[in-house]
Amino acid sequence: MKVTLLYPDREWGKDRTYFDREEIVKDLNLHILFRAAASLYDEEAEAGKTVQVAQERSNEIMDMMKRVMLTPLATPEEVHYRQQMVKEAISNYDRMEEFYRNIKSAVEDINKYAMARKKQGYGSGSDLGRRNVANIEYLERLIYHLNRVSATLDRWGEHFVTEEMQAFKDQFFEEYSPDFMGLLEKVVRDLRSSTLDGIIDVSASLGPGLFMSNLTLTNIWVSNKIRLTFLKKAAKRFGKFCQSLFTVEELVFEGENQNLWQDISDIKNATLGGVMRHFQSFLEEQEVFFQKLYSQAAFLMGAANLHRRMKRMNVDVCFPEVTDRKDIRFEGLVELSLAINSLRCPVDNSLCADDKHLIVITGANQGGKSTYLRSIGIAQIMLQCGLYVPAKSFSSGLYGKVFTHFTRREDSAMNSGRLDEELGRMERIVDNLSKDSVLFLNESFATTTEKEGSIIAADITKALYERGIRVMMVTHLMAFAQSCYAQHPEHALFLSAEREEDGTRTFRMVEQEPELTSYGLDLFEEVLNKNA
Amino acid sequence: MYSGLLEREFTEQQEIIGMPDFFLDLNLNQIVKELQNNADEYDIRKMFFRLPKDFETVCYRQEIYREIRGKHLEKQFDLFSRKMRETRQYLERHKGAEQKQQYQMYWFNAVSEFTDGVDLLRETLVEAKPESKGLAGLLTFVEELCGTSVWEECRKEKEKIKGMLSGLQFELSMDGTNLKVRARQREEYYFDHLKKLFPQKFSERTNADGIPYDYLIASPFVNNEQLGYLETEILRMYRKSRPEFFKALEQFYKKFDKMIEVEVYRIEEELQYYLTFSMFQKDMEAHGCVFSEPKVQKDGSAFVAHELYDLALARKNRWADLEVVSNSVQYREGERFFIVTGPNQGGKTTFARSLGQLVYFAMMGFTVPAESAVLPFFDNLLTHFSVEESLESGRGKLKEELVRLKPMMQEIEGNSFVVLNELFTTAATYDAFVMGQKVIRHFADQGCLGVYVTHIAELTKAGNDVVSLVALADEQDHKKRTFRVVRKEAEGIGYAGDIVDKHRLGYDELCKRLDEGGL
Repeated sequence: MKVTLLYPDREWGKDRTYFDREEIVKDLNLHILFRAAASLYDEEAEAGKTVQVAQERSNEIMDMMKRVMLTPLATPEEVHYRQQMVKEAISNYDRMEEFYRNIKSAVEDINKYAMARKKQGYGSGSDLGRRNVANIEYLERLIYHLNRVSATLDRWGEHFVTEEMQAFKDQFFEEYSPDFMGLLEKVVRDLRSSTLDGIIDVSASLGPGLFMSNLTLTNIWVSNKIRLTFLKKAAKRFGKFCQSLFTVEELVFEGENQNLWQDISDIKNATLGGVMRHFQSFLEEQEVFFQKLYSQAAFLMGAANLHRRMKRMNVDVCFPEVTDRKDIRFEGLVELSLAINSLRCPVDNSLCADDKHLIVITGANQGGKSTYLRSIGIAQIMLQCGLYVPAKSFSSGLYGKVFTHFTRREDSAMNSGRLDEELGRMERIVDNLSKDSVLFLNESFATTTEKEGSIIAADITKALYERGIRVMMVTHLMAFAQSCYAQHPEHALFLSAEREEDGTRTFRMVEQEPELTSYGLDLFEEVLNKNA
Repeated sequence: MYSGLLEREFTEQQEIIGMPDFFLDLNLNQIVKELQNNADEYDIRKMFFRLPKDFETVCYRQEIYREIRGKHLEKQFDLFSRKMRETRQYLERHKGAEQKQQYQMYWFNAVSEFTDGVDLLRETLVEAKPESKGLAGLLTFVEELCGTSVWEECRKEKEKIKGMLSGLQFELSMDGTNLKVRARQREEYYFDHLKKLFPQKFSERTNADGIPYDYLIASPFVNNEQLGYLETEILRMYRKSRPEFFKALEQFYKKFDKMIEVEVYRIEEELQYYLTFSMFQKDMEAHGCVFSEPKVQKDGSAFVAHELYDLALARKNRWADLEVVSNSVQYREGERFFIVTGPNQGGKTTFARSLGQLVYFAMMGFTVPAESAVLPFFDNLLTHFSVEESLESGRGKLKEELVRLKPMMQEIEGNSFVVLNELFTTAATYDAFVMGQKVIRHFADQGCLGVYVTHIAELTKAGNDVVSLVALADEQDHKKRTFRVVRKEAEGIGYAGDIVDKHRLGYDELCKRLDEGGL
């Protein structure tokens, strides 16, 4: 069955992820989000405390949050579908958790059996017998887990808030219908009985070399006749008498017969093996099915966890709107990784930039420029994977490719090797650019002199601007920013960190002309004074 | 006497030759190893080691290969081969059987398979109406074999015994220790339940006895040498109740004790030569490789190939998403040697290899890895690829190279194709130039065609019949290699520039790049 918890029409795993994912994670501090999403909380200990301690951390959730968040959705419809699923998980947190826990325990169980099965490989003789028994047990466990998942879905079904989840449930019950499950349970019961006191009937004929061939199973049944030893013995004696009279095509062996015992068990094992062969792909499919279910549910679980965390920190949460790529608007947007790390809601920002595809941010050091850029980056990533965003409202386009190019402190040492590296990365980005790309550049080209850096930045920015590619950049290269501003490009917006008369920073971004100094002096003063 | 599918005239058993020297150099061993793996039971390698001696044999094989593929005979020939393999298995077991009835039964099984197989081959060929000399000859051979009255009688007896066998069906009913055997009474299959569970996993196909294939269980005794306890008991039961069956079996054995002709095995083996390559070609075609039938000319010096590629490389890369670049080449009037120069890792060696492979597969009568090809007949391939210094011989690499070259240079007779790769790399450049020139002149003057891969651009001036080819680096990005080889004057190229230029992030270049990217 296709597991469609994440996409309306297909399964998770085939879509392209962003280019250079690790850079995006590092630049946007996404690992903080992944970790927050993966923490499950103890509900009872929660009362009266504002901050919760993580009870356990799920690696699967962490892993899936990362993978799903770094895989963009392609259309508004897909975003809507994903948002609906996330809504369902948020609204029915307890059901979601039960669902996730059941699947998790199923997967752990299945992995145990699957591993054992792989280890056993293809045995023969008594090995085959043991493997058959193990497989039957495996099937019994699978039936147990399937029934548990369907029970959870049934309970959840009474509270569904979205049609999408209802459709998933319907699909599940179509695949694992009562008829199917009933027949499956019967067959598995038969198989189990055949390893106990059941009787199996096998038909065969004489093949090449007079060996048995054309073996096939005709029936498995349990004898319910009362064993009357006396009557049986008499019947046997009578039977033998009859046999001596006619040539009857019948042979009866009863009781201990060493020669026969081995033959019987060989045929039985081969027969069960032949039946199990048909379960082979079913078993494999179920392994895959549960694994997929687990992965996809892990994302929804993580989304629900993260949402709780945000609510607890009083961060505004909304489901963003997908619009045209040339516009971006938001209200009350905060930088989520900072919020999680600092355990409170940071300064929020608003922006209305219709038909502006170049946004240049300059201004005071420590003025919140990088945080601002990062807050947009995080929200964009969250929008594109169908999550909510930490804002009062947020609307933006869908970008198939997201690139981040953050110069980090350790990178800023000036030498040609660094520049080479930085431009090498820029080149790789250029190689992978497409119309639906967005670039987040933070202090790029700072690994050379201001003059050189400005020229490089101007060249690259101009080329990208002319082609309508969305670029959001924080820059220290004032010569570049000013010359850029002087040309009054129609689709560009220039923002600066707000700075009040006395030098106080509000950490808000406002629209204004780039100024030559980035107020490093203020910072210099502040740091020195503090020390004094 | 039928000459077989490889030679157009009957020859006595040829001596078995080892792997020719050019096999490793051209990576043909990789391909033939796969062919051998797909033809498990046969030793097909020996057929691939021998190049045909004359032009007519090339045509003889080409016709057969074309006809097999054109008329889709592979599947039927494969079935025939399988029946022959089964025949041999039954014969093997027939010899080892201890019980009289079993001994006779195995003979019956072997003869059944054999006659079925040959009949199938005949039917296939009759229906195909062969045009190639090879297959037409095969049809004549087979028709002589199975047109006899004994053969006809054997067919009848066979059917009679098969009919009796189908009456011998029984049913085993067992729990842990007790077992009952009786004649089969019910047409009932437990597998019907499973089919209901997994309908798409079951096919409708049934075996000769009417049981669906997917319902069959492999007998646990199938690999036993002798009948086991239970089977012996069942046999005893039937000997008592159905004596007429065992009588018929005995008569069959006595009457048809000379039915199996080993001559058929040789044809079966030779068929594998075509079948394995055809299968390989199909497999590669499924991965997007192009094959074409080459035009081999007896007298003529035309040598043209379009979109030629290295088949061994394509085979290696088939699962990876790597494109194998193809090249078009032509030896124009009077041209004898290609001198290929260009950057390292630029595809020079691959190109040389693909030329060698083209000649090999064309001469073997197969299709070639190119869109089209015309080439003259060659009776030999000479190759020399530089190898790692050998510790064993204790000689310097240069000397070793010369020692290996010597027999090649002495043995040739006009009709060879020569592939030389990076000769004399350990010698001083001037020395290498002089020696290289001598080698080229030697082969060219003998009338050979060939290709020479080298770093020494001056070698392109080794004579009027020498053509310079260059493996091109990508024009836009010197770091990328296109692996394309074109006719061009050899040159030495150096790259320089500042870091921005290196990454091509200057405004003009960046714009050009973005525009090319469709932005």
